Amino acid sequence: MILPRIANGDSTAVPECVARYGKLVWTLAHRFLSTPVDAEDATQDIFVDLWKNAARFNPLLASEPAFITMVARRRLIDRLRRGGPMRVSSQSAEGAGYPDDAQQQAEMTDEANRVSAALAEFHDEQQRVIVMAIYDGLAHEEIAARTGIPLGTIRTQIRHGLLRIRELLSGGES
Amino acid sequence: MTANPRERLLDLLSAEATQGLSEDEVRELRGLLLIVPDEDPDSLAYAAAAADLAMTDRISSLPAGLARQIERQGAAFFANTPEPVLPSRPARTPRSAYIAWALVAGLAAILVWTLRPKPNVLPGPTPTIEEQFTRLQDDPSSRSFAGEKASVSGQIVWNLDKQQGYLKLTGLAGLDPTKEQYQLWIVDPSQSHPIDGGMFDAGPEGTAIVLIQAKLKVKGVQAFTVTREPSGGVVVSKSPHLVVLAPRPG
Repeated sequence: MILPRIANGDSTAVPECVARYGKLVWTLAHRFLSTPVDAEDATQDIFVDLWKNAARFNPLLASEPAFITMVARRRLIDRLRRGGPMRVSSQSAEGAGYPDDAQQQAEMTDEANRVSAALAEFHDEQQRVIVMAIYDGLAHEEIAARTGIPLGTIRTQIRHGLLRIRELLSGGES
Repeated sequence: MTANPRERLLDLLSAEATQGLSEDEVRELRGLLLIVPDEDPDSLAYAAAAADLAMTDRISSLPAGLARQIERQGAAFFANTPEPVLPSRPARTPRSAYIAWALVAGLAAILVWTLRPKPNVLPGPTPTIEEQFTRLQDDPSSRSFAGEKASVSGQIVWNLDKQQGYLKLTGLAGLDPTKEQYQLWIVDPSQSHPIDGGMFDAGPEGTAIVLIQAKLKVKGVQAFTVTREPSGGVVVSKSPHLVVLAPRPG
């Protein structure tokens, strides 16, 4: 893991962190934001957030990629709220499969399996709402406008979906 | 809206994890986390992140130039930040096991950071923060600010082009950093609210000399102010100004 080294002020971990997670952060930024310039700015800001918040990482609660994704999403959502137009695309980015590290892959596979288990429980409408909220980054009102589903139902579906994912990630029963 | 605090808290955490919150909602969230201390404030954001990651099956390569820039900024961050700023998100209730861990880990990281030898990222000896203050002050494009009120007096050097500055204060009361900290504000006339310039603590002799870390790009500065806030800071301050630092002539 790299974040504990960053938290300890080990500047030699910086190039390694960029090499390992730069692609992930860039992919997220590129997905959320509408211009390459905005995505570049956001990617840099996210790494500054990581340098500052590395000490918050707890490997008992999250994998390192998930923690980094959480930090990145917070920054990107904040930018969107401040008025940045977002790119809306549910197409996968072109590029290599991720991750390219066997240990990371094992951690993420376990996490991904738990998330998939949660998503498989949801009916089609709720799955669609959750993908639009999380992957597409659409605001709840926008999801309601696009789907015709009432806003209150959207919020309930998202909340229940996240709570169920949380439950399975923490080892709750299926 | 439900009257049940836990239900309302989960509504807000769910919204935060997916679309963000307004300033009013952020304040409401902070209050609810005090009432419902056993809810992990990051758990739904983590759930959303894990789901996002599970849905992301292809990754784009980071542009090479951008990678190098991030590495340079990282090196500069570690070289120029002798006292890392604590995470800028507001402190959560210490009764949460996760938050207690994060607080201890953060304080331990600061202790390790202040005790270790500074890495020589730049050629030659690493300048002290006092030296960095003086160097920035010698830059003709920098501006100086000063002020005093009651026992507190201070100076700031700020460089708009570099978006960099340093603050020196004396006469500060000692605070328990787990409860209260000082927060710097940048009064930028282009913004509707002062910009958060970062949190800091007073040293044992009531002094502080810190790197200013603006949360937004600063377009202009009318003044700097310092307030006393709950640990982790606030988004918009309602506290009285402990000191206002105005531009020095010349």
